[in-house]
Amino acid sequence: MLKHILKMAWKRKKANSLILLELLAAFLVLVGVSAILLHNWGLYNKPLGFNYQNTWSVQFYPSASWEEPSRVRGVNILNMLSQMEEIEGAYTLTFSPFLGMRWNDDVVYKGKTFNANLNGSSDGAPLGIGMKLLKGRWFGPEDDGQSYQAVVINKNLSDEIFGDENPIGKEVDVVKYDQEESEVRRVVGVFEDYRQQGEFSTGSHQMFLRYDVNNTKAWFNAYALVMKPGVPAEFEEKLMSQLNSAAPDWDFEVQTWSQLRRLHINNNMKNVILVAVVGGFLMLMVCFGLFGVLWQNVTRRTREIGLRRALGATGANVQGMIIMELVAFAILAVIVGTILLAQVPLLGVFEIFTWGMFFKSVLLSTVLICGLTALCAFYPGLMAARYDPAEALHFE
Amino acid sequence: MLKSYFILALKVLKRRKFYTFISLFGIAFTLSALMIVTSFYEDMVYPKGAEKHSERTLTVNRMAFYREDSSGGYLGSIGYALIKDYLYKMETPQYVSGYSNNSTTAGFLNGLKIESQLKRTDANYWRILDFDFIEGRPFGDSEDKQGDYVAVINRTTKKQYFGQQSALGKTIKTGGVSYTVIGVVENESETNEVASADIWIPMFATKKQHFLTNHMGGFGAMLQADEASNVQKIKDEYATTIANYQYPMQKRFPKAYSNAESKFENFARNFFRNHTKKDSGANKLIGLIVLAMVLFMFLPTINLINLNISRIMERSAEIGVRKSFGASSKTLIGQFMVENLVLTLIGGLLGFVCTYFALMFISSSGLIAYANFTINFRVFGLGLLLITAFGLMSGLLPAIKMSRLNPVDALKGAI
Repeated sequence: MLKHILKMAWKRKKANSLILLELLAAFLVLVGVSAILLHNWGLYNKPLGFNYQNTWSVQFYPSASWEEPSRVRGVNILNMLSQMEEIEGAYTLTFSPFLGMRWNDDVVYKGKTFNANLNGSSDGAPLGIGMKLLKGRWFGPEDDGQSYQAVVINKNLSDEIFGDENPIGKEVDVVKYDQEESEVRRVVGVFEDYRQQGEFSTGSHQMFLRYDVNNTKAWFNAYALVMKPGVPAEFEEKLMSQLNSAAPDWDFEVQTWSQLRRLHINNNMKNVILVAVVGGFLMLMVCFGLFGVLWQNVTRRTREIGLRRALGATGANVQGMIIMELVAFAILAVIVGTILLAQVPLLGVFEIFTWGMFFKSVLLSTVLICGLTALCAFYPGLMAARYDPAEALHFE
Repeated sequence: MLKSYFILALKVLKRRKFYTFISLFGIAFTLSALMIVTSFYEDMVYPKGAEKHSERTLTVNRMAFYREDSSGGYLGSIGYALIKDYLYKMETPQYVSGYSNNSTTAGFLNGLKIESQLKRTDANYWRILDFDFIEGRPFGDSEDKQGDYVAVINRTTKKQYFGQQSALGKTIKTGGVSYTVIGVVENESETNEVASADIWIPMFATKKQHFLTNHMGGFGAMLQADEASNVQKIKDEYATTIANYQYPMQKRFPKAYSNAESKFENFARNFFRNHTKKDSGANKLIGLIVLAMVLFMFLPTINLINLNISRIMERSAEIGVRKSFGASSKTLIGQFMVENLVLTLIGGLLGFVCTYFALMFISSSGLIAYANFTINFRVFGLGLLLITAFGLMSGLLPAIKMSRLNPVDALKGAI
């Protein structure tokens, strides 16, 4: 059956070449669209590494530059927030997630330099926002007055710097952005992740510096407030008035992490939806087009089909043949397309189009294009199956 | 002759309603997708609203401090110190304006939270940009320097806080600070980064003064030439300014890169993440857009070619008759091209309608705040060009194929 179909297709190769080209282009578009969708879907489903529910972010902008009086005031506000009955835990957190802010710097270990995304928080913050510890411990009061400064890092960074070595207790040099000298930091724990840039970000190398509320001189500019369950949104106004009375000349910005996350998702979904809609319309157009071509094709071959029926082919046989013809073409297009597409991961042109992504998207697109072509051929095939052999043979 | 072709074309299209529908669907979809992209581009290069004199205006919104080997460092907006100590002292621009990036601020009205985008600007900002004042006036130099707590708000903010009444002289409280409203302007599309905000206040209307000495982040600047021909001079002077720029961290990050450029050049630079080269990559980006559009048209074109071939083969008997009675290949090609152009033209018109509604939907959906995309004559002209190109591309091959048919075979319908 397949041999027969391919033979017929080859006989009309000139007429069929354009159909093949269309299927090839459609296949390439499908692979592109499905790679983008699969990539984003994969990112969306990776764990964030923290809880965004019930956590609020308070950004603040001091009226003067960050010196001792500002720092003391910032710490006093933190203590005030911890006392509020609606708040389960109040922490300093240099960078709230989903805001698109980052601070990258160099981490040096045994003479090798690595790039890390730095963040800082007060004791208890990682646990409070639900980050998961994999090895060692979180930093805490036991690090007070020690000769080292404690940091925790995520698994990505740990794997990159230490490989199979045990990272706990190792010391690294962290070059500070606005200074020329570096500081020695000791890794006390490894956590799963903290995807600061949100669901749609690719893997990053995270390091959390310990912010010792009583001694660290460095700046921080945000609080993370973990709310008790059931605190309503109206609490914001009360919170705002408390903050304003504590520091009338500072600016505060309160946002819930859920809000920030929704904004982040909306922003990223815009592009994904655009790609999906355009891809969907293109496929619809191709389907209509193939349907039209096939319809004409079936009409032209009325006499041939009549002959087949007269020689004993059933209606189902004829329909199957029409469908198989187009699907065989689609498979041919898939083979050619796959060979072409294999060049992309081979040459490493697009970062997201890895071999894994290549196989996944090619597989998905193959299933889709075979399904779509079969669907397009279904009705013309049915039409052919309904021909009355006697009338079809007479067709002019 | 053309008229009869035209009538014939309409008759043919009417007879085969199904094919006509499929073709029109494809054409309309393709062209509206391309026209939507064009009107976005149009909005960026030739903005409407307050930025309409952008051909004389350059913006500075990126600063990069890199190490000696050009590896990592700081990349972000410029700091106010650059504007204060360098840009205000430039000689070639007619006006220099500094403004802050938008920050989100919240006010409460009857327990409801109203979030607004707040921008701090100097007085020149209002001279360079051409805002449409519904009521009141902008703030001037003295109000800016004294840091008076006055505000210009946009139409939406006025409606949120004051409803239908006049807002002039009233107080608006946001972020815990009260401002007196002195002007109300039309909403500005979020795509116009420099002009867009909800509330504008004077640069010095803040208790925080440490921005004065900050070299990193938070601000942007506009440099306006008195006439378009002097734009290049400003670019050159800005390049010299950056070469002589003194800043802290200079020891660790000795290389400073920044450019005064048009909106599109800025966009291209950010698109290619190219912050060190002199060339912004604007031409490269245009080339890329054209290439993407051509690639995007590829699939619909083949689709239409296939459909056209099917449609023509069906009419082989008619072609046979015409050929037998002496119609030349040229005449037949002409006839089919006209038919196809008529089809694309109808599809194109449908495309315009679809584009119109799609743009209206995008503008009103709030996906892009205060967006105002429209089809103007430039987009319309480009659309017509696209339609014609599309019609010629998808019609030529089938027409040639058809004109080569052997009349005898064609009459028998055996092809």
